[in-house]
Amino acid sequence: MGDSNRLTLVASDGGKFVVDKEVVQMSVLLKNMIEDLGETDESIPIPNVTSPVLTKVIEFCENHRTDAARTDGPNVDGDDARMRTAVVSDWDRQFFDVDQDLMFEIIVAANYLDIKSLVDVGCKVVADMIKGKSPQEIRDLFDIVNDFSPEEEAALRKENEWANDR
Amino acid sequence: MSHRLLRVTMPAGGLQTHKLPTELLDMILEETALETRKACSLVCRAWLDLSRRHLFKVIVVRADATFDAFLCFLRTHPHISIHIRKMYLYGPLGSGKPEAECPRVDPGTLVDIALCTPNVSYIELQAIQLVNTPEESRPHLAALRGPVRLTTFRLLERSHGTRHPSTAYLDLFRLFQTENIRVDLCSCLDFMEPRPEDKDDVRPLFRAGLFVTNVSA
Repeated sequence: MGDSNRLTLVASDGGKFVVDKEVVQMSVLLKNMIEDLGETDESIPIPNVTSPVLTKVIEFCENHRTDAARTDGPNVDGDDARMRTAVVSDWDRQFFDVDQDLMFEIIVAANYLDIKSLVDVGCKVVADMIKGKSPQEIRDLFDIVNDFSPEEEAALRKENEWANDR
Repeated sequence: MSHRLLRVTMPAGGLQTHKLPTELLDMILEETALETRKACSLVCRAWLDLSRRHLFKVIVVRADATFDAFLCFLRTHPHISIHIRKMYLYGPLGSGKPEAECPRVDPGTLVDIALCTPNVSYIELQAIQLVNTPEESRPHLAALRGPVRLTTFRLLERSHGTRHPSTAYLDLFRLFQTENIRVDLCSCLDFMEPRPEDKDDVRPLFRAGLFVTNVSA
């Protein structure tokens, strides 16, 4: 390869992607791995992340490479602060305007690769997607089977009545 | 080019496509509001506890007469009570209700509520009528190992003011230990008079200026 600023990622189906090291390092998992390896020409296999998913993940990282520094910032206020840092731009919404299965695969892969900004944006997009939906609509969306009996569901609804807004 | 295979540990169960891993669902729920959380809790058993962790993290209870029903709910639903971290106990909607229409609560009941919610750190009361702890509850309170610890306790006044008994105020200060406290002291000119029987343990509080320094208007 010869270019020390670029790395080759290999998707689970064998697809190869030559990517700037700076972009790859938005993944904390890969960043740590690169640091452990030092200077190397070796390609990095990403098992279980398919080429279509890896293509999208790299597309996101390429687009957000300038705000990569933010992902290293201290999480000053614990978990609650995590999501506040994610701002979903028009580009991000367009990015996630894909087949639903692919969308979930991207978020799962981002979580696995530890790309905080992509996970945060993805979670916000999914949250928007389920907003205002009934339990059955959410089940349909996630391909989940209802394992509550009608009586159980009624009892849970009754308990939930104690949860209220101000 | 040498091609040594690098091992990357996969999450248990691999990368799922249709079901999101729990930690992602947790982050998604963080971004949702009340009704969506309720709906999520009814999706399936696997989603129930996680959804309720978010649904009941902050609870707002509006009572008409007392908070006894709420206390009963907490006692009979410990799997829900454990999720509560912030609690708002309010009177009925709308300010300016006469005092007689405010729900009554005594410090002993507040302690019982707090003890049922082991993770609560914030309690706010508004538009309620504080009343004295019934005599029959006192032995139970006296048996407590120490004050209930909270981060914040707020007893907010209604717009036109409510007169709470000073003994109940004093009980609050004795029963709760908080980092931040706000108690609106309305119409309580007799407030600085500790009961004779409280002399020993209450006077140090007065000397320390606890009521003055920790109370903001």
